[in-house]
Amino acid sequence: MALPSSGQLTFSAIAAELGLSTSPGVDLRGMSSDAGFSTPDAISEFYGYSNAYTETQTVTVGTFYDGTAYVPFTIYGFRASPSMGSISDGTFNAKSGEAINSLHWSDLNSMSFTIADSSNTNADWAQLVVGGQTFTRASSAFIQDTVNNQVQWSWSGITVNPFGTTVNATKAVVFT
Amino acid sequence: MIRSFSSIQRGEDKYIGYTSECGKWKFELPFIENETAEESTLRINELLVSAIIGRLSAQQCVDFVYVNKEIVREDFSMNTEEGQVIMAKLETEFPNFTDYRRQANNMVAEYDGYRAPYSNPSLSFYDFQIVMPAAIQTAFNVSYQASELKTWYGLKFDLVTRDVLLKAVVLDFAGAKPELPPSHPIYNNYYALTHSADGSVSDWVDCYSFSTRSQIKQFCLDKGLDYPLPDEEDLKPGYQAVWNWGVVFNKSTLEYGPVKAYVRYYLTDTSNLHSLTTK
Repeated sequence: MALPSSGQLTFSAIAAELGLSTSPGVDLRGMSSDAGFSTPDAISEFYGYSNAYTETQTVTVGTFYDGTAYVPFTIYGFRASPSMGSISDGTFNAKSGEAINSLHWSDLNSMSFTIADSSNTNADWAQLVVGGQTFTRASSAFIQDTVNNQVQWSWSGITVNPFGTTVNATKAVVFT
Repeated sequence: MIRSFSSIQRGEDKYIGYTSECGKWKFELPFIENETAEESTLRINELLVSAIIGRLSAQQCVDFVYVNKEIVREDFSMNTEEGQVIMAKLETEFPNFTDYRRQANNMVAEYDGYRAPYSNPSLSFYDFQIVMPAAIQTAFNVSYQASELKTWYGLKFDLVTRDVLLKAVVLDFAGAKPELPPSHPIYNNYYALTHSADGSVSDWVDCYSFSTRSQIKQFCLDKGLDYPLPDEEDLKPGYQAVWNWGVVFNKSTLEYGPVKAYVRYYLTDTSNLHSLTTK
């Protein structure tokens, strides 16, 4: 939701719009920088400001059965390696164009979203919507995986496959 | 065992932060109001196990099997250099028992009899991605349904007595059990029964658990058992994961046997095959 276009603006309201914590503190220069404003700084620059972010990735659905696993499973969606399905454009703008490694559902009832670089943090996007299901970042389990140099958001107990089982179907995945 | 968590606040969202004992994974889980530390620990365990098992691959590897801080067996994929040597010995010593080279991820080992029912130097063979074939069932006079079995089984070849034992790997064990590590909701505990060719079955049953170090440490502490792993600095470096645990128990007396840990290393440097072994 955008900040008001007039009236009182507080640091905490600006911080909330930017997705920042006010603990231990925030300063105007830091917040202005995050919003892309150059010096000199003024609170008035934030009138009507919106930090809204949205991007759409298009997944061409693939599937993969792993019978070598200790608990065999089937996944649907996109995975870069081993290759399964495809994605366009496959770079995640919320994380400075980081490569998307996978975006898929498993019949072990989990959904996962993985991007490259284990230094990425659990921030900068709020939810993804695919196949009529909404997956919020706040409800996900987040893993920084230094073994495979990637980060992953995952959701368990997802019994409905949001990608469907039709191979080569396209599914829009909308991130906000 | 209660772990140390960090508390993370991002905007209005709260998370529990945790770094795995190996330091390779950092987790953030949604904070749940009024959740106990034990419940948080359980969620961490489940996520950690999922992370470990979900990332295992069938590439060429070795599993070091630890009992009471010592390596008791080294299971090699058959196409590693060490695996090829053991496979050749197996084919010479026990020719045509089954199709040992049926698929490339099969694993072999040569080991000493470190616990009942193993008493002599032996060869071990695991056949993966297959439900135990009818010919094997017939040879050991057993009759398992496919729905009872995992998709692999093992054979143990005694190099002294020439006896062959069957490890039937089953999804569940219907008999009495002592208390065992809790089962993961997806990666359930499973069991192995050891059959002799004369139709008898060993009293010693293996319970395998996809679990975590913390969980197994606590289990060993509670039961007065030896924790299988040495300190981190005494583990051979470069391992992918401590991915599986075994708890042996006697199905008649419910006495515990050894606790085992399976530590996996991948063959990534093909120019130096012997980097896999401790020997």
